[in-house]
Amino acid sequence: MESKNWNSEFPEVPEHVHQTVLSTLAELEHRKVKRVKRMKKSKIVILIAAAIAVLGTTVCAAEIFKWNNRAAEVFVADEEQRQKLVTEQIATGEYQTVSDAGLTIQAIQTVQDNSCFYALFEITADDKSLQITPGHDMGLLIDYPGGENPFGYVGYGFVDEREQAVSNSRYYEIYGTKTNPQSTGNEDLNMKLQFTSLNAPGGKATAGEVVLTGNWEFLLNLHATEPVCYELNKEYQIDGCAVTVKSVELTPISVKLTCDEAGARQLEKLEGVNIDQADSLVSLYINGIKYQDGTIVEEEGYQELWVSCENGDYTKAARLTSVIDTDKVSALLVGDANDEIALP
Amino acid sequence: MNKKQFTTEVLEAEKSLYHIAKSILRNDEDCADAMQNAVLHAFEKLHTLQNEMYFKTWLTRILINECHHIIRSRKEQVPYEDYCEAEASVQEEEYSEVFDAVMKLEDNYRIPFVLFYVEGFSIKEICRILKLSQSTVKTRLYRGRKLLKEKLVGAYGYGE
Repeated sequence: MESKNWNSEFPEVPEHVHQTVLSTLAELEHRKVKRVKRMKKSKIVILIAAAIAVLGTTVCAAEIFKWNNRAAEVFVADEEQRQKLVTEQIATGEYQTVSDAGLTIQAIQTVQDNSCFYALFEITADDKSLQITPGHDMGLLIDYPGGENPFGYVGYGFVDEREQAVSNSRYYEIYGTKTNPQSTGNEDLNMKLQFTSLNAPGGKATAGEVVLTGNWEFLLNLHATEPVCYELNKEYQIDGCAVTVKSVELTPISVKLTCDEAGARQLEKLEGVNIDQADSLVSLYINGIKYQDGTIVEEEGYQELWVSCENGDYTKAARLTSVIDTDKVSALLVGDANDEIALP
Repeated sequence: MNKKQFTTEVLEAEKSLYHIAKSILRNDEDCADAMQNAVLHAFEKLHTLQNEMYFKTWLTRILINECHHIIRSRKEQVPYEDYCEAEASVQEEEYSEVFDAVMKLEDNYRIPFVLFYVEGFSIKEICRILKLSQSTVKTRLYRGRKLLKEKLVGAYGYGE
């Protein structure tokens, strides 16, 4: 089924549709291309230095930084774990507020490790009659001054109605997933976020009409997180198959699991799926984290961030439902049978 | 990106845009409207495109939005189900059985299916286009494929 040439089953572009496109393109001759001024690198460097000087204080301010409730809901963690994440600079309080064109945007908190990134903002319209709904959207540009974009996927949007009543103020969240294993280096990452507009609710796939435009810029310095790494190279029984697990990397908010491809192919066959066609292996869903004292932290195993199958390795990264204490982990529990991948 | 590059990129993506519009709207007149609006809208918003590498993905997002606008406007005039049925009865016999089977999938499965299998977008690109998580896209592809297989075997005897 996968090898079928699906494209040939779909109709060719009818001539009148093609003519419509051509006439539309011809019409553009009378329109101008809008250009956006890009900041000079030197200016970016100065701004970053200023931001780091300000944000650097957040490290010292770990004791006084309090998690935002919304962020605490997203990353299920008790008070002790929250403080630990602040101390380890995985969670960072932000103290940047920008107002322009009747809209105030406040950066509240970031949470990140070597696999994923989360940023929480609160966006408030001065005009209280302007109701910001979950369907509204923000024009957003992201730059990585001096570095490449390490994120394979960045999702963003206002929190939905179940979480917050509709008013002139609403939380706005950005989620990023680093899909390139090579990009998970040990250097801090500087991100420049530039909001450019507030847009009315549009369709499912893009923004609606622009409500207001402005310039709201934020510089975030994301601290690199060292994961706890286990080089295992050991065979485990997973769903009745012998699978060699090469390594496990843990941070308090995510896990990266690397198996040999041959083992993954056995599971693929058993489950009747096709990992080359982006199917997930249910038998490798991480459904629990077992602590040394026998306590089990249940996980929603399907929270995959990315999967790769290359060079003889099958690697997956998943965000954890609850924050974990990496020092106490004794095993990962995978699949419906909760097969144990014991850690030394 | 200048005007000339924009024109070239749009024409290169034309077939793909048509297939995607067709999979949502069915009616060629509506497809032409959606494509026209998407091209104009994209040109207006070209300054917001961060990376030209993602032009096609970005344009596809805009197109899908335009398609949904058209569906919403149709809904205001007649129930959408009636509209779809009327369109299907007019145009159904003109296309291949496989195309018809794909068109019978629900929206949730059909659009990711067309983006992935027909137009060759990657999972990551589909996530960006539809603003869905990777796991959701994968699940929809998996279920869409399964449903399509059932439809093809059941209605047309494929694979029997």
